[in-house]
Amino acid sequence: MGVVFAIALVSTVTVSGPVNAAAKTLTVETVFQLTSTDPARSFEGTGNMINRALYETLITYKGGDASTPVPGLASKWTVNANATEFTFMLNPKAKFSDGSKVTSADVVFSLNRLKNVKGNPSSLMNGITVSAKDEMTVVLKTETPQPQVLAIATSPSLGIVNSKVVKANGGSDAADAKDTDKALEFMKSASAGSGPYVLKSFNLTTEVVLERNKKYWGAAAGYDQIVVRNVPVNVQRLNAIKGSSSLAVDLSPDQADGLGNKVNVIRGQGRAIFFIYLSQNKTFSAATAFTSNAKCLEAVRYGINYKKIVRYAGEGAIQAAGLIPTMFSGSLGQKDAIKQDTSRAKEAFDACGIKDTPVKIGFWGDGGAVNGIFFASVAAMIDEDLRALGFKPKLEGAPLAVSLPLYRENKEEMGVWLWNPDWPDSTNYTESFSPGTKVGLRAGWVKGADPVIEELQARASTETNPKKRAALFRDWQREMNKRGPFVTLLQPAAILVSNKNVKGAAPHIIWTVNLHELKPTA
Amino acid sequence: MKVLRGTGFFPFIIKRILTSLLLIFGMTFISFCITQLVPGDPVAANLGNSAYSDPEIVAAFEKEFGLDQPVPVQYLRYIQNLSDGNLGISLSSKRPVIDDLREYFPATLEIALIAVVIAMVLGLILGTISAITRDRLPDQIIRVLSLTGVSMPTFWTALVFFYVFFFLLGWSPGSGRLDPGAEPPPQVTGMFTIDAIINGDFATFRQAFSYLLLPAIVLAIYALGVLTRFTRASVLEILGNDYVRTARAKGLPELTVIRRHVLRPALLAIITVAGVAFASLMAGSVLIENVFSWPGLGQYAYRAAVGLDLPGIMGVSMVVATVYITMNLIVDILYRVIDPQLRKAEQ
Repeated sequence: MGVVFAIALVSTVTVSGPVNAAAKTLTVETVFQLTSTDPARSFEGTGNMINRALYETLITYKGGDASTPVPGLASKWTVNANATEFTFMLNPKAKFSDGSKVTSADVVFSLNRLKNVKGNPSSLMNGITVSAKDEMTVVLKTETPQPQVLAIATSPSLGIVNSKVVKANGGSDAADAKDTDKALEFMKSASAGSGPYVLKSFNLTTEVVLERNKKYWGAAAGYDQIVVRNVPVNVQRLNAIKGSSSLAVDLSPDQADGLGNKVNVIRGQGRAIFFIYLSQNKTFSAATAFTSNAKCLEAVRYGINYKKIVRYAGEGAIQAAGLIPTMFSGSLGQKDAIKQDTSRAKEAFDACGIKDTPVKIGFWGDGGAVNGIFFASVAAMIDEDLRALGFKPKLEGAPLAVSLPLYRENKEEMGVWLWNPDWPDSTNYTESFSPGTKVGLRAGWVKGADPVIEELQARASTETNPKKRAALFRDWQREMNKRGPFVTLLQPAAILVSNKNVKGAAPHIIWTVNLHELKPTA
Repeated sequence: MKVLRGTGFFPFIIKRILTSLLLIFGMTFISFCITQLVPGDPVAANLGNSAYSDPEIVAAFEKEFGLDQPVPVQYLRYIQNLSDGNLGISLSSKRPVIDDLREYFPATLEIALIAVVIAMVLGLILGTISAITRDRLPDQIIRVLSLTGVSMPTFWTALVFFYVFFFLLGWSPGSGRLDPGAEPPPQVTGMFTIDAIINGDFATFRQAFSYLLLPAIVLAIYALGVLTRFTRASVLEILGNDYVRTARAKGLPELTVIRRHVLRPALLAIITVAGVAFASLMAGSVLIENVFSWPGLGQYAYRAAVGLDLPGIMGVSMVVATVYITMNLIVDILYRVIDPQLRKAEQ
């Protein structure tokens, strides 16, 4: 049987060339997280990477940075003193792929469309209104001070589309756009942006092909064509070793080891923060009567062997000292990280009274993994540590579609989850994890539960002085580390593996890698 | 009605087709009930953190996909749309399920067809050799190989074959259906090899075939094991019959005896197994498609399942059920074509 198969295979092999045969074609391999290339509807990892190359935003970031905005379509911008008015002056050179000029009307249309189609990223525009001051000036306004608007403006979901083209293909920015906008199919067949690449073809499960935008107004794209392929991680690794792919973006630290000398391994810090939470909803179950107890929380916080979890996550992973990842303003250093203290944890366990009451720990359990870190493995390590203290944990992993609603609807006693930022700013954390906010509520932590933390959150959200802002974020996290129902575990590494003939790859927390910055070495 | 009361070949076919339609209808009901019983939330599975916390976005999502209606209304609407050939809108791809199936089904059909051809041809040859060399070395080797084929988990075989034939030996071009960025042939059937031939594009045909072969072989292995063992058993049974001994005693060459007096009656049973094997290949390609990044029904089904994409799950269930029912129908018809006794009995 094997001989017959071998003959059959050999007889066909001569017809297929190397995977990346074309001189200026870049092949990017990733496990697709993709729904479309419509910036108003796409909010997933692969979608962000592709849309970053198709649609430009008012401002953006360079390389792996996510803290200092640089010009995009806007050459200049100003922010008023209390961070409620953001004025962007468009670059007069900017033009769309059809050669037409980018104007403030396109910006207003794009951002209103994003807001009104009520898609996955629409909430980015919550509380923000957009208007055109003149043909080349756009103003974004908020009712309350929101310094994070600049960070939000860099999101690929706020990519600017050619309003005439999108309208001609069924697009709408009207208040009822959720019913009347019919441009999605068009946006999957073509692009209407000003980015360095244009969309050639789109397939949700195989590949998305981009072509050089011949009318691009900025620095020319490095490749004639970029093929973004949906490839399982194990195959990405094999292709990287063979040198038959240009860039692999999903390898874990372990998988990036021993790849040989055909590739460059670029390591950065991942954007996710893994954490455990304990439900503060006293009446949900017998166990939550105890998990809402401060002593119980202290026992968990000091009973975890963080070093072991970080070791498991591989080279480049670090213990999360707080909820805000290292690349953002006000992140905590390792000196602030909680250290395992088993005697303190045991003492707290004895005082908390949970004793033989079993406590369920929910997590994404059907092989769910991020950056090569399996939730089930992390949960198993936590299970071991808690058992050593005397807890009776019960691991309840389930497919994401089952476990995620339980977590989001505050129906877990304890959970192991992660947070990826919706926008690259520390406010995304203060406004998500404080009492009464979305993740806070998932932990049953209602408004008014901790006035000190809430006060810090409110001040951090409106503070415009960068130094004071950073200090407030640090204070907020230190208080969270003392009393919050979240125990931060780790921040994984982010790894890009590129062929030696590709330069410019830098991991980015929002768009994974900036395809425009990738160039051939020769 | 008179036709239905008849006992001939055509009344039989008409009755079977009507029964099949009823079965498919029943299957939609069962699938719908099961998908509703899954303890998940399609809204949570498809919306991001912030969107899920925004009641307006949640309401828009529920309205768009009809999730704001009571479950019985959802089913009635589904059946109503089904009669117009509308399988609903996929929650994950945001386009009509029928368009998704039109794209993904041919990709799976293409590897399944090649796999079943490989399995049938080799299974028939190896099973026959095994039977006529009973308990001798060729028989023992084939039995070990077929047992191995049946015993190896498909995902493991897929990974090992991919590693050996692509990574180590370089005999296979790798994952996917075509080279990166290569233009697929204009769609006629959706099967790239056939569409390339129709289009007269032999370079694309060869490229598509080179990508197709390794996943098809992996998919064929299990069915090949089953068919080899089944053919062996059927041929052995027939070899013991008096009429075979008579044919040999009359001095007919051994090949003629095997071809005319052994394989022909054995075909009846083999076709039954091949029909079921084909249908199970279609349904069982999920893991292989994942390893080979093959954009077929399996990958679509997996994506629909993890995203609780109910219209997508229903669409896949319909296709798989239709394939099973159609294959059984074809097998029954072939029975009557091959077996003169059955035809005679009906007349």
